[in-house]
Amino acid sequence: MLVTEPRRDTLSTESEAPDVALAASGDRRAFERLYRTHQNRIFSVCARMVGDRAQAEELTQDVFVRAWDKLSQFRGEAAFGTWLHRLAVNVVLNARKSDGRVRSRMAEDEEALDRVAAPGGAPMGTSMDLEAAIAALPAGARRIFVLHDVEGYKHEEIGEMLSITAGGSKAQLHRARMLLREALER
Amino acid sequence: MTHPNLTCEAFEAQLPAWLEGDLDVSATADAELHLAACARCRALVADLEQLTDAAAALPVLTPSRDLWAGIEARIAAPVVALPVRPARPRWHLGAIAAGLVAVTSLATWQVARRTAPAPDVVASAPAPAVTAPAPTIEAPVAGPVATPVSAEPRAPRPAARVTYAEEINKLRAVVESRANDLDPATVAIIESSIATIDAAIVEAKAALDRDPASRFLEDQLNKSLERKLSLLRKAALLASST
Repeated sequence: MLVTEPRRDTLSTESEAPDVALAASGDRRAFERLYRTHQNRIFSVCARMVGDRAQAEELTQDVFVRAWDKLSQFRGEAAFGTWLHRLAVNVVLNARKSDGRVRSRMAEDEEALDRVAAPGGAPMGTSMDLEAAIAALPAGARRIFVLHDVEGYKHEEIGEMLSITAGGSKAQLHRARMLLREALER
Repeated sequence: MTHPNLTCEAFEAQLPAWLEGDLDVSATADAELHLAACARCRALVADLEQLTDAAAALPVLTPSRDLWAGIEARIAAPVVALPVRPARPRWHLGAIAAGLVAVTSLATWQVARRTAPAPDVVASAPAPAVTAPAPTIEAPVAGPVATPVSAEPRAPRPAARVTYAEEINKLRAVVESRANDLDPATVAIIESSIATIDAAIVEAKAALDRDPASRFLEDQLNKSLERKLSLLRKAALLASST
């Protein structure tokens, strides 16, 4: 059976508590130190969830701006890194509500129009490494794979974030793994 | 292939539950008995375990540039509450709307006789007249468009949306006037695409209401507006009977 380690629990150290307190009181240098500590982890989860590094850079900035705005609400019940990570997931999910849900259909429509205007060949599949294969997953399966297998969230947590059942999360995860296996075998 | 207790198909059907540890003791025993006897299914499980291990071991990624400057600029900017914008005189809005209607209504009327109403209304703005192109939400030029006054300094947006709206309305009129020259299937694709993009615009606006400081969402909204423009330009240039 497969067990995933909860990576995000290692996202914070007690030594950053003073910086969290300073940042919450408006100290931008302290907040920059927190940014420097967590930027790569936050960028990673954004990049893998959206499958696009340029978008992930914008989202990472959004996450830290949002964190700055909400820092006064951080009560320390969870580690700062865990709180920040969850905030990042929420920012990405909020963004996909505006973009992801319609993106695939829009792309389909535009491709159909392109075919009408200038018939052309379909893109060819190539062998991919794991990172590229994750990026190529359907958006729903990709999000759940990243949240569960890469970031270590539990199905119940994912269900809560995505407003789906834990069973739905499990089914999507299995679909994602099978798609990845197929992609990596090409 | 058949092995004691389970076929490969039956094992694969139970595989997600087995991987999650959701099978009862008896079903788990059956699955493991099958695995012990079936090299093919063992290979599948080994692949999935390897995949899961590899996913958990993926390295952290690094942005291509230092993002701090952009973050600092945004958190350093004082949040200045904009005064509530006085409502424009109704006659002023009406005059602007009338200008747009005058340019486009004839072409729209010609198309409206033979096609279903175009899905151009993307929010609560009611269509002002049957023959006039309904304004999009990005066009605060006619009708009670429900655009909330933001507490943040985002002044360039409404002006940009007016520009988008004007160009979109003009292009839309061109496309509608050519609807008879185009293949009905093409027209259907265009209308479907516009409806999809309009939905994206509505979604982006709703998301921006929830997270007004998001540059990403702002960009998504602009991209959707650009996408609509691009689609209309492309449609306007399609060859006849395409």
